[in-house]
Amino acid sequence: MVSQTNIGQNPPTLDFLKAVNALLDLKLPEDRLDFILNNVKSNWEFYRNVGTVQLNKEDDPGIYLCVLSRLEEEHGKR
Amino acid sequence: MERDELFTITVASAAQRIRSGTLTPRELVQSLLDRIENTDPTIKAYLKVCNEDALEMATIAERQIQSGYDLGPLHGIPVSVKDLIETKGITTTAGSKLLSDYVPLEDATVVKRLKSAGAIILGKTNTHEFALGGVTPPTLNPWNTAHIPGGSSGGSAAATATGSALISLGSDTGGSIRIPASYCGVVGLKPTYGRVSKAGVFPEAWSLDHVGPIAKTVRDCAMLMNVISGRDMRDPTTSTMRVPDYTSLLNGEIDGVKIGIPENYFFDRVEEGVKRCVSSALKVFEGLGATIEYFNFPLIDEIMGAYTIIDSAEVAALHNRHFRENAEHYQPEVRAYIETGFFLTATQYIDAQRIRGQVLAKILDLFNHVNVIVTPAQPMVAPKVGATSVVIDGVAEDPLIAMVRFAAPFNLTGLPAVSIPCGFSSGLPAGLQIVGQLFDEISVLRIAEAYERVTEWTKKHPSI
Repeated sequence: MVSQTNIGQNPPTLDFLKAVNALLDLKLPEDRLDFILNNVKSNWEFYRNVGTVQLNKEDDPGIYLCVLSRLEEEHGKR
Repeated sequence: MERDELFTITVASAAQRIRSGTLTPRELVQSLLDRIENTDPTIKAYLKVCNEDALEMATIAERQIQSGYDLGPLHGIPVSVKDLIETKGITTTAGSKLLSDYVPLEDATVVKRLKSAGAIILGKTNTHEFALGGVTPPTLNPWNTAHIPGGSSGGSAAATATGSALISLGSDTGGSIRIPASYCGVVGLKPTYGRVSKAGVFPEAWSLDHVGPIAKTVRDCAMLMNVISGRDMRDPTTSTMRVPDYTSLLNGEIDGVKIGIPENYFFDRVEEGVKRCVSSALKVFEGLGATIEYFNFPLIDEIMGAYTIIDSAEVAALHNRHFRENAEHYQPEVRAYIETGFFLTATQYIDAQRIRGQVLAKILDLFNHVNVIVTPAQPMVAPKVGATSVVIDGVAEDPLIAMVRFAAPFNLTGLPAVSIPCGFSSGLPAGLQIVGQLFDEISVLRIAEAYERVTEWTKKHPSI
């Protein structure tokens, strides 16, 4: 059920929340999942923007810290 | 200055007077304890006040200084500490019932450094629970107690504005130093990621967390930065770069400085009163010889998307284990925030981190053209206590989302950013944000101090 929900593109469904809750043993009360789903959906406006960026194979997730280190070196040379 | 006026004194002035013998650390600490006694029943900035220990340390500092053993400008200076930051032998609750009995065995590195420089820990200031919010209950805004101080370092900012703290330590993951600094009319600096150690500071989101000062003036911030900055073996994310003297260029000279103003995003949905204050500030900068250059801020929607994903996912991961057993002990809004993070996927989180590199490269390019970026620190002045939405330009918005809009981009990118007071709207302070190149706090502080020098905002105090 989890793999059928394309969470990167569309907001998750209540079924998805139920499945993750069970799979990860999150212990979230069933009667709270509707409330949580609404909160997730309201964040979706932000999440969706990440899916629109063209990412290439060079976009390594660790590059952010590498940029910081490179800058340190550049400052150090001055 | 009479003793009952000491609550308006700055760190720089107190340090000078201690050295000239016209003020003793004990007099200073006692005056702050008196101020706390008079104002804190109303403002509720403190969770814990270290009366006896602070007076004892002040007496020791007094003797040391008199006998010529001077540890530097912060020797004998009282500092208040956000309750998210561990203090040896003093309860550190992170604003949560879950940690109500937690007494650390060791100081956070920043506290250790302050103590080594002779500073005195005055007390622990309120934070929003686990720093996950912008309200900081039960603390109130000293300019108008019907309004919030902002958060999550709300206790630190409210105490500094009230004069019940001389200077304070805060932390900032999505604006938690700059938001309350803006709302309370004080100066708050979020340094570059890796400039100040986070060791011993309860995390909110590891890759977005920063620690920094909240003070009455820019110079005071610089003085504190001189002590707390630098490599720390307990925090591998800290930089090995040399720590400069942050006070060295505070000379009011900004002739020829290029200030970048984003034409998009940072002036959308901003209260008219705040816009007026920021526009006036830009004229002041031009009057000082700076030039203004307008530009388009890159990838802003993607920045906020990546920020929200990274923050939510790291928060959920951090609280994961305890949350399963103790969900009902968290504040309702904190609980709701943590829960959303469980439903993000690994690929979303990793893509958000991948975007971070792209964003940073584009923003660093901007600094080939300008020295600093200036924006409003907040789109509004402090919301009312209990507000569930804020309406700007006819658009209703969740207050927390409004608060992080202009602050969080600089947590994602790690750039240094300061909020300084730039006027008042509806009787409440408005803040100006100055953002610099990575590790260039010196420019940020220099430009902020030049503005502060020719304006009166940091000299104003709430009437409480």
